[in-house]
Amino acid sequence: MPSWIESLQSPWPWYLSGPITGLLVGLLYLFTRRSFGISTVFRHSLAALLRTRNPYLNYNWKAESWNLLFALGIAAGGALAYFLAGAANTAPLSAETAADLAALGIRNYQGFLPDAWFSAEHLGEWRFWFLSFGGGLLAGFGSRWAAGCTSGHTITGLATFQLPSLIATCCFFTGGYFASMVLLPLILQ
Amino acid sequence: MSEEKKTFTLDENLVTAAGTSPADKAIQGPVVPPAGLRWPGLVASLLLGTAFGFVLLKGEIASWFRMQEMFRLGSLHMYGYLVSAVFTASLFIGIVRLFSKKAGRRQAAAIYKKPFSKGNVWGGLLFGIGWALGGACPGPMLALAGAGHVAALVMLGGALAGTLLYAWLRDSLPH
Repeated sequence: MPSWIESLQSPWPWYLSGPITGLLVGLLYLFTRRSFGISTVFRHSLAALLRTRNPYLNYNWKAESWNLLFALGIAAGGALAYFLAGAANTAPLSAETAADLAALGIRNYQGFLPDAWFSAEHLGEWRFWFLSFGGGLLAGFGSRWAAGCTSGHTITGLATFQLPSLIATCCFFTGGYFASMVLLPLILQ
Repeated sequence: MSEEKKTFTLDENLVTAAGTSPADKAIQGPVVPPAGLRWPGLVASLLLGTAFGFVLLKGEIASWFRMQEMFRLGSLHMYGYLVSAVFTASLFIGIVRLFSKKAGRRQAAAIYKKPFSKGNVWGGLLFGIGWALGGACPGPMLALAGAGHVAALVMLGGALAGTLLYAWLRDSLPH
């Protein structure tokens, strides 16, 4: 098998995927003059889908259709990676994290989401909806209130030296540490 | 307001149809109505999005396990990813802006600056909690949905619901 195909099938280290991401952000700015940011796509989708008088969702969303295409591309890229390489094991996981997760009942690192909680056969369980729908709801609500998510604030905002983005990023991580270290074990143990 | 700070993309929190809601008044900033991109820009957006989604999966950035590892300070992986992405993006955007300015195209070198609002703090904290619970921020949600995860589709549904909720509550939230 040619080595380039092998490298497509094995996971990439952060020092490859990080700079590539930065390059893509730069290319997006070069070709479109738009700032890399993803969560805004939820606003544009609702503006496109709903006929509402709500001023936050009633504007010329067509002028931002590049963002809808960008989001569509991300899903297509995910599908492409999956069909080329399948769901890889996320390994090796650090020993401390593996021990923490084992205490929560997660021992299988196949794929990208733990099957024990997130696979379709758990669709009837409260835990599935609490983590997926609840997590998505807070992420959607929070990112609009904060006017950006990890891509818009943490990557674009910090890359262009914006103080509000630094503040938002610190709050993202504070919320994340709290939910991972305190909330998750409390609720799910 | 200097030329440099003028926006040419839709501002998240500023542009509404009316532009006069209390939340709009709370965060003042420059507003220039955006013009849509032509087809080369749209194709570039689609292709760059595809490449980004590919990287999210190949780099294990969309992995719930790596996300937990990050929030439990178990590994450098995600921090290394974010820092190197920020550094590289900063470098490339800086170079593009420098050449645009040298060519005398000040408008092309402009970049939208997000104004500070209290939402950066309160919304940021809520976003962080949701990020850790689902184990995915919006980019990975989309990539995982493309890779066929039902849970990621549910997360996207939740995110749309959260956005709608924000649109309803916006004027009564601190900004």
